[in-house]
Parts: sequence; C-alpha cells; structure tokens
Amino acid sequence: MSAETQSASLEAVDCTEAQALVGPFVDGELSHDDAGSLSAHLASCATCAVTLKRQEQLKQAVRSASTVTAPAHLRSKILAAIAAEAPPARTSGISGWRLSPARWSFEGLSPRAVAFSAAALGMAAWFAFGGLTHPVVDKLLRRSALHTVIDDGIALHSRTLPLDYTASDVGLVQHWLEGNLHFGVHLPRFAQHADAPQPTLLGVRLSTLHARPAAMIQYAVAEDHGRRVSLLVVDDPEPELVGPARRVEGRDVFVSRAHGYNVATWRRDEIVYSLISDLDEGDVLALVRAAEQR
Amino acid sequence: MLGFRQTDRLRREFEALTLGHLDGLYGAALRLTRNERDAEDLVQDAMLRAYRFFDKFERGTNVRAWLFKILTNTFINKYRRRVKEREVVDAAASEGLHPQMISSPHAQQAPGPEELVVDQLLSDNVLKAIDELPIDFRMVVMLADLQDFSYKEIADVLDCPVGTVMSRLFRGRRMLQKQLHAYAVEQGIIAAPSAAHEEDAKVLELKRHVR
Repeated sequence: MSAETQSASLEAVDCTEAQALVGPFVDGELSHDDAGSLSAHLASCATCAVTLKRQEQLKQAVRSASTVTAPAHLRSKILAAIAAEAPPARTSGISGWRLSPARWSFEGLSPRAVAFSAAALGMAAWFAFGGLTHPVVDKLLRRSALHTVIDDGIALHSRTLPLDYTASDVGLVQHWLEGNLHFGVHLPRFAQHADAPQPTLLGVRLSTLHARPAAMIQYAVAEDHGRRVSLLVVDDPEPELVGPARRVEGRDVFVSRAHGYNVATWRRDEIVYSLISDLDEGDVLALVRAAEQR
Repeated sequence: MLGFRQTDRLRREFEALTLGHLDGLYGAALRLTRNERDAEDLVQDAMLRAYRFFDKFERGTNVRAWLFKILTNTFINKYRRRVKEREVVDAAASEGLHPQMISSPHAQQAPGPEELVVDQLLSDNVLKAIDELPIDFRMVVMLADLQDFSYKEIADVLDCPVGTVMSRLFRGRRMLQKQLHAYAVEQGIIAAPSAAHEEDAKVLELKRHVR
C-alpha cells in the first residue's frame, strides 16, 4: 500500500485509488504530488469529496471524544513509585516484569550484581551436582533469597496499586483469600492494645513474587495520619528463615530494615508473613504482638 | 551502584522527559484496557518499566514513541489477558440486560456516502465504537487519531511494517464508521435504510417494540 502511495504520480487518479488515498491525505501522510492528484480528483467527484469530508469528521470526532487528563493521584503515585525505585541501571526481581529478553542478558546490571549472580549460579551448580553443603554458603543463599522477596514486598507496598478486593471485615477478606489463593492464609485480627497502633483493614491485592503467588493485605493506621501497613503473605519461599530472631507471642520474628521501611517476618504453617510499613520498629513489633492468628 | 547524586539527576531527567506525556498515555491506556482502574495500573507499570530501562533510551530520540511502545508492550504482555478475563465475567453478569448488545444487522452494512452522521453522535458513542474495535485495529486508530502519531512512528511503536499500519488504519476506520452508522440508525438520527433492507428495518422495528 505504501508502495502504491509512493508511486502514484500527478496523473489522474480514479475513484478506487482516490478512496485509498483519502485516509493518508487526512493524516498528512501524502506526498505533495499525491495530494495534488487527489485534490484534482476531488474537485470533480462529489462521492470522493464526501468520503474525504467523512474521514476528516471521523478523525476529529475520535480526537475530541477522548480528550482526557490523567487523574492527579496517578501522577503522584508514579512519582512516589519512581522515588522508591532502585536506580534505573539495576534490574528488579519483581516477576511481573519478565517481559524483555534483556532480562536474560547481563547488560544493564551493575558489576556487583553480575558478580553476585555468577557466584550464585556457581553455588547453585555446586548444590545441583551434590556438592557439600557449607553452612556459610547455605546461609548466604537463603538470606539473599529472603531479602529479594522482602525487597519486592517493599516495592509493592510503596506503589499503592489498586486493590483486587476491598473490605474492612477480616472474615470477608479471609473468605475471599480462601477462594483466590491455593494456599491457606490465617489472616490476623489485631487485638486492641494500648501501646499498639490499631490498623484498619482496607483490602487485598494479589501478586506474584519470584513466580510464587502472594497476597498483599493493606491496612491504614488511622491514629498515624492513615499511614499504610502491608501484610505480605507468600507461600514458603525458604526452607527456614535465618538470621537473628526475636520471640514475640510464640513466633520467631525476623526484623529487617530496607529502603526506609521496617519489616517484621514470621512463618506459620509453611506460609511466610511480612508486615511492611514505615512505622518505627517498636510499633511494628507491637503490631506483631497484637496480631492474633487462629 | 550509582551514587545518590547521580540517581537523583537521572530521576529528574526522566521526570522532565516523560511526565508531560502522562495525559496521552492515560488516554491511550483507557482505550486499551477500557476501564479506569486497569488504565491507571497500566500507565504506572509502563512508567516504572520505562524508568528501569531509562539507561537503554537513546537520548535525543523520540521519547513519546518510546513511552508508547513500552505502554503497548506492557499491555499486550500483561494486561490483555486480565482485561479479557474481566470482560468475560462482566458479560456473563450483565447478560440480557443491554439491548444494544444485540448485534444489529446494520452494523454489517456500509453507510451511504451522503450520510454525515458523526457530528450528531455523542462522544460516548464514538468511544464505545472505538472500544468495540478488535485490539489490533483499535491500537492503530488510537495511535493515529488520538495521539497523532505518524505512520512511521506507529510502525516503530507496534514493530510492524508501515503497510500494515496503513491497511489496519483503513479497515479500522471503516469498521468504526459502520458502527457509528449503526448507532445513528438505532437512535433515529438517520432513517433506517429502505426497500433493499426491508428485513433489517423489520428487525429494528421489532426491537423498538420490545424495548
């Protein structure tokens, strides 16, 4: 079609040719010569002239029908998400982004990340071939895997994407989760404690972290200017959690801090729960203490 | 790892180059996903993705086309199935409720050249007609008419030859016109076609009575 358009000369065009040229003419894509030929035809052909008029109207109608302005909150959400994002040259582990073939090359990764990946691959190969399990290596690998899950949880928390299910009742959300996740979740109820913030349940967003289904349960803490708390629930990313643990209400809780967020992680029935928020560490632990899971 | 200062500079540069295109991206996302919630998600995902691959963006080249390429790719890879699934659910939920969902025989019929109906139709009708286009045609119509991209730019955005862009645009607009004509007939803006389409007229009459 483009070849036809190019090769048409100042010679007279017939109706069939003219009909095909009208669209590109309206789009400003015709060469000077083609436009001249078409104009000559239109001057003497009422039918094709109407086709042109209709095409112009249509283009105008489409344009004016869909003049929209992006909602203001979208702009601020994007700014916040970008600010929370790692520098552009680094790739992220969120599995939803596995779209580009570039992900499989080392191009664009920082040298440190490349070295780490290479080391991890080497270790993985070592394990795969029945190599010795060295406790230090073992620990290093497990820690790093947990950290990437937590990092991704933080990235999700900071993005405030819309919820898949909105409800403030624990029972309703629990029921919804049971119908939408293939693993069992024990959604906590936060008991009233004088020293613990009282989170209000907002709803759930389902996600995928490292090819594992996950749920992000969102809360707002009213007395703290509606500050958000997310509970990330992932199906067993690790054989066990490692690192210094604290005993809180019968749970081994691992507290970490990354990108300005405090994260408290514990395990129950092969499921890992991580509370993520920018509340201070004491408040986060108080929340864990107040969380009752039946 | 980049230093803080350098990261900050990159972020500012990214924001300066891209934020001006937010309205356009959102408008396009609305036509792709056909609902506000998914449109917001899509734009945010595309913007974050663009930021992550900002080092791959060749400075001085067409940033708008680059952003729309990321937007359409993100849509095709991630949202298309999700949106489809939701539509199946919505359609099942609303079955039988919308008489306009019944496909009109007039939709199949080309409008006569003397009928200039578009001006009299509401914007809602125009949007609905665009949204009903199959995705491949919707994308080119959207890029050409909503976003004023050139054929060459559309070909770059969609990774296809210019010829394909032209033929899709031609067919997409023809479908759009037919659909708008059908709406105009339904709403009585133009008379139902006579004689040759007596059967169609009867069906339309019948539908009016049913309503």
